[in-house]
Amino acid sequence: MLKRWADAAVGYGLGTAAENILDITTVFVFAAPLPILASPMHPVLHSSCSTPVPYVSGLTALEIDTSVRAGFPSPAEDFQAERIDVLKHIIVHPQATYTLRVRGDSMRDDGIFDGDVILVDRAIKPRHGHIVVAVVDGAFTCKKLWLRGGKLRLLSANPGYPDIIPQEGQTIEVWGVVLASVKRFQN
Amino acid sequence: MYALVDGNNFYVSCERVFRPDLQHRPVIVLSNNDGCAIARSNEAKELGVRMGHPWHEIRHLEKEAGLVALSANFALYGDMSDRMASLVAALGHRHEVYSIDESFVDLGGIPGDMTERAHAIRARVLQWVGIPCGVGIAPTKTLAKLANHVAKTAERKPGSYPAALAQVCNLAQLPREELDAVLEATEVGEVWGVGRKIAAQLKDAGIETVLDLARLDPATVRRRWSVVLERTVRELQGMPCIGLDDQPPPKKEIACTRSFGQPISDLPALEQAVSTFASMAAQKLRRQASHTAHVLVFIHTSPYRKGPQYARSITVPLLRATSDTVSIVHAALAGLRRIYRSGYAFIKAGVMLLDLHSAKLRQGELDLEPLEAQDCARERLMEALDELNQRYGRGTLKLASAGIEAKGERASWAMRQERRSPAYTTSWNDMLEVGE
Repeated sequence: MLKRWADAAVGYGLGTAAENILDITTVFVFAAPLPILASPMHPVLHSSCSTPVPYVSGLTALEIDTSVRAGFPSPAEDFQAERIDVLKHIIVHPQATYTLRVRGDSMRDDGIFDGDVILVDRAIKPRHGHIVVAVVDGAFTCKKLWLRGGKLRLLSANPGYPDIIPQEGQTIEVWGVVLASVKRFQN
Repeated sequence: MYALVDGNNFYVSCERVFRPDLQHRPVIVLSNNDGCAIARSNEAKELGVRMGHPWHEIRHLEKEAGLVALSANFALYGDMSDRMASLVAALGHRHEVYSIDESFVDLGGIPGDMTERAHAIRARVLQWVGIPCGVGIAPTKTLAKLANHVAKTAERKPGSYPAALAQVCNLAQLPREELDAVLEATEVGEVWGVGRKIAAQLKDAGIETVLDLARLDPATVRRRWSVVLERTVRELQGMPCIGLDDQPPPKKEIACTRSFGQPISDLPALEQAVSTFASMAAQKLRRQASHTAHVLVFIHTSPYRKGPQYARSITVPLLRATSDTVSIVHAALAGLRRIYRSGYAFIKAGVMLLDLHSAKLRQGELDLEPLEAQDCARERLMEALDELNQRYGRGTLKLASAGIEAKGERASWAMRQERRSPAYTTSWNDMLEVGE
């Protein structure tokens, strides 16, 4: 796609908008900087990815050759398969799955840290031992669900944080079950 | 047999999924520019807030009754609508998304008890997505719409209809006399397709309730009113006349119009607004694979403000039909410059694309310079533009004439949306945060 875009932009820059009614040269601008997926130090000049790897510096765009070369047919042709899509394997109920961001370290010992993004599935029936997102008196919290003998508790996974044991008049509702946590090591 | 599934107080319900503290409180959602109420929670309805109620008239309820008002967050509502509609589609084989919060489902060929099935789907939408909805089931679309009204009203106002009809109302299961009682308890103005004017005419003729209308002779209705109302009467009598639209036909015209957050008088700001609206309209046009041959631009001042009034529109014909953003914006700006007068405080502008037809049909030209190569490049440019904006967010790549705002700044003409909730489900930076 980038190649197409670059082509078009070049083609366009040379021409003017003389067609139709007006004769004004129009400039395209990037209103928001595009994320640079390949850094200028390590430009991706060749890629066989189906998704383009934008290489953008200022307003110039490098062309990336994504075309298929002629010559011998690829021996992999008959074995074409779709690349693994991580989310597709994790998310079972797309309509019921929401992404939320965790604040604080109260679930640290279960591997959920401050800033992690969690995938929460509302279609899963909450059970004892599930990590859940619950609403306690109108506020969202992420905890481990403890369900025994018809009693409910929300356990922290960090000794520095108290467990939540329902008090008189307190409303606690399990909002959804945490399916997975996305932790980024590099940005 | 048809079902109509409709999210209750949809916009408010969407907000409540991410703001459980808003449960059981009076909540409204305001129109663009925070002008008037376009969705109300049941508690807000109890307070007497009407649909379309201007915000400045009910603002005092914020302090007096704890009314919570939010700016419309259509990115959120669109995503929630999508989630809901795809679950609702499981009710039958065929499905028509009628509006952002309503879907018709064709129940033909589905075995088993429809009421039970509808309750199950309703429970699933509530649990999975978080939106409560009402389901109406009946042999025709008009009756299904009516049944949906009954399902929602029976839940909200106990005693208005039999309690068993709350949440899911299956008119097809009712014995004749109970059905008649329901129709008799409903005003004629509630019928799908009966507008305020026709309702008044019907009442003048002594037709007060839906039962009165359903008992009219269709031929008489056609003679005295219209073939449209005749169809409505037949549908109320249980004869299906309106089928399911699987694929809505492409729009005959596309508009993008907005009131400004504050009045603007200078031409450059108006140009930015018009360029933005024309670009949005052009994108919509390409999405339905159409071309336009006439671009209409209008600007007007606010009739509710003091000062000189001015309103004018102009239609700019294009030499060749196109869906190219650059050409459409050029035409719109040319029109704008023609109708612009200085010294007025403009409050609204809009761009409409008229005379639309399929992009596949193209009027050839006898003479002229070979434009095809350039056309192809342009088409690919527009594809790239749409893809980039799809991938990196709206407004990532735009015409310079639409204006550039520094980070965190808003254009002077931008909509006022002071109370908008985050785009929880569509923006990475707006995600809901879960505390400790």
